Amino acid sequence: MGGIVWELDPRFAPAEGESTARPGPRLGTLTTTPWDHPGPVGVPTPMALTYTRRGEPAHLTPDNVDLLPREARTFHVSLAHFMDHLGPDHVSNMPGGGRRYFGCRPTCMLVTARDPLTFDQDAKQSNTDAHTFVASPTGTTKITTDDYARWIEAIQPDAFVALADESPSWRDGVALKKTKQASARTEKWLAALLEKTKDLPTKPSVFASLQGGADVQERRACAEGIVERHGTQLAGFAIGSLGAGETPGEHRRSLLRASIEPTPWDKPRYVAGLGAPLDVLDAVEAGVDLLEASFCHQCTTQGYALTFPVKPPTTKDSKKRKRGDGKDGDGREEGDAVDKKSAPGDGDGAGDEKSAPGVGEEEDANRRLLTGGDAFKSNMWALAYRADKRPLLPGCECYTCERYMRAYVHHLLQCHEMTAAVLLDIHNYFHFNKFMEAAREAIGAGTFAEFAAFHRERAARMDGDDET
Amino acid sequence: MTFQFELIATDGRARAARLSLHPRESRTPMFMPVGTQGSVKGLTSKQMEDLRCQTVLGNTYHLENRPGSDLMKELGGLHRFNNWSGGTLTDSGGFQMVSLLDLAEISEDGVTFQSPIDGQQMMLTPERSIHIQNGIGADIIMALDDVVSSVHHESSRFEEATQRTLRWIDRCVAAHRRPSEQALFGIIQGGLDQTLRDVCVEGAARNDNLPGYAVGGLAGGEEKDAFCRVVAQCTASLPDDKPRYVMGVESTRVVVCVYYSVCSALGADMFDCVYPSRTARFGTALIPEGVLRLKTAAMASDYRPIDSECDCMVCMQYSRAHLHAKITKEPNAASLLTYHNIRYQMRLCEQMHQEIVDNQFGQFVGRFIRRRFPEGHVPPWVRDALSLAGISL
Repeated sequence: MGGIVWELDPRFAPAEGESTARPGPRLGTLTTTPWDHPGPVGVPTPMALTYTRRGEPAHLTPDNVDLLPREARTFHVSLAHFMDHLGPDHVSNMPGGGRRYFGCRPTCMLVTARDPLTFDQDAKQSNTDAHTFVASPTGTTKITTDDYARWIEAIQPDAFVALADESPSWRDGVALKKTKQASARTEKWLAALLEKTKDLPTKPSVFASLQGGADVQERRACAEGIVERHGTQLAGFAIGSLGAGETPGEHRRSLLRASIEPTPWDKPRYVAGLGAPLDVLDAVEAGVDLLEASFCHQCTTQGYALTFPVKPPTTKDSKKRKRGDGKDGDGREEGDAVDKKSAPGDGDGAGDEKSAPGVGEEEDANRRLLTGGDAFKSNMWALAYRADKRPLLPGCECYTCERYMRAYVHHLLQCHEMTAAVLLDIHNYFHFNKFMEAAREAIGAGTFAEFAAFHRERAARMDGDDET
Repeated sequence: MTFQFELIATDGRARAARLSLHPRESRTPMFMPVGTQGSVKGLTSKQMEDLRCQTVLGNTYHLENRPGSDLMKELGGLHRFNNWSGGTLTDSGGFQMVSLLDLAEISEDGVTFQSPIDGQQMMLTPERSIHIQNGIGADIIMALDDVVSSVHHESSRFEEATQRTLRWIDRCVAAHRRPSEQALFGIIQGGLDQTLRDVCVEGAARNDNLPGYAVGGLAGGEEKDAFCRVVAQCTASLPDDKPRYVMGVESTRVVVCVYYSVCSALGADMFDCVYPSRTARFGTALIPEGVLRLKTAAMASDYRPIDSECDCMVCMQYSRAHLHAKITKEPNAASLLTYHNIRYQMRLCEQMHQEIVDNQFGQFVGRFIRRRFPEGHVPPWVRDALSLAGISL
């Protein structure tokens, strides 16, 4: 414990003699010092924090988290889940400190008030200058900066996002006055929390929440104000009020940029609620370093396995493809050709088990659409997988894919067996972390634009909703 | 025949043995976790290996409903399907007919019942049961028996069931298509009637085609001492060189681990019970003193591990307080508690195995029982059963 340290990869720092770095995707390292490790632990950014329920992954036990890449032990923690009758003392009374309460032993915990999957700010009660509301296990619950500070003291996270008056950016006609009020409140609460937590022995890092709703001007003004007045005390910035149902697209991208541009280049930026792969691309492109992976949890609970290729096929793969159909197509013709050849055999599921990711991917995706999946995921409830001996994603190296067939996961879902969610969660988190790793590789190689274009075009082609 | 049963040591009536199953051997005395539909609730097969589980049970009735034995066979059998390299055992499907369905009708041919899925009349015959179990492909399969609740009131019904069970064993043996890969166990019926049990044991023991035996027809609500008397009687007269399996220790009995130790003392080798994993999901943990109810208010401020003597991941990393807050609310808490409860039972069995090998089993059971019942309140049925095993407390 003792807060987080985030370092920008020097390649992305401002050029000599300049004070600002160029905008866009960037690499960094997030380092913490967990109580149960001999030394500091660093994870590469951009990365997605694991979604938790009451401080731990909903379906995974610690040994299952061990099967995931190291980054998966970086947890997003929603305070809302804790606000039941037990109170903060229940956590802080743990001998040795509240952090030891968490048996899963995350290497990093970032606390925010709300759950990224539920946007409680739509509650009927209105926030006041003194409090906001979160959806707790026992209903909508009031929370003040005092409560929040007490919880931070109890849970002992490495970092937290200060309490925010979130004003969703999707509601047309939210009065600018209200948006400005939200920014002002959020800043006031930030100042209060900086004061209330500054003497905590665990020295948690503080992230400021940047508001401004759907208004680009106000986004920028809010960020500038907070940087100017509190910048030196802050470890990072959280871009608030997104992922609340707003339309993805250029407007949202401009909101992201407006919040990010005024922030100093040497501090990390976090965003909640933008977890679907295309959202991740938008966020990373705007310079976001930390995201959260509630998308994986959502997929798991709905019986989906993530089955998209994490990166464009390599040259070697494309050569193979070209040889396959003799066309120098863009993959689409290739997909059709494979489709025609193998479609009749699909129903019995006797697919070839050796195919690498990317190969035959398009035809798989076509079938996915017919069975309730989309460009990114397959619906494992679908009867099409009843006798399918292949792993969830052929070529995937996760525990689930190395040891189980689709037919088994399908069977477990059909029988409402808890193990279904465990196996899906292991795969989904593993795959999503691989996706983030591929994004980092692309940033490092200077090919992020191509990387993003590949995913956007692929999604548009398969799902037919090209928002770009 | 890959199936082999090898006695390593005996101590009094208790036995420590090795069961060679494909591909990994199991050690007895052995508790078998129940993976009704092909998975032990919330656990992966790697976790089952980490818990050092030996043999895992699957239920024929459920597996035939979903995914179906034909599909299971096509997918490579139960081992391949749930990626489990330890031992597997399936029941005959007969017990679920009694436990799940009121509308079962039993004739010489088999059991007719109404399918809970589409209401159709279905017939489970000994041949059909074996055919299904051959398809599922577990290492150990069970003969279909004529099950009568042990507290049924008509004695003529028990007589009929006993004789029919013996006739059905012959039909099962004849129908068995994979005897070199799957060991068929015969089941001893006879209710609480000593004469009938003797008849059944004698009849079944004569059959050379049965590599093992199960004591059935219990766990139907009979008194605990009656249960133990039947187990004692059957284990005394069954052949020494074959394993003995006490089927389905009744699930509502919180003293399940006492049963294991008593049955082991009486010379039984295998047991199963759904109680430990089911009760885990409702917040009850097994500990040497008995059970720990994690939902109780006192647990909210109890920062000790579930069981300070346990070596499992949950006891190493979690407090009772943490589990109190999450159990019955968050799914991973159910997995954690199931994990501990299974490890508790595996540890007990490992310990019993070792104590038998070391010829210390009597003292061990004494210590174990006294800890469960401090201040000398050992129930008479436990005392009586152990004295049948030559162990005095």
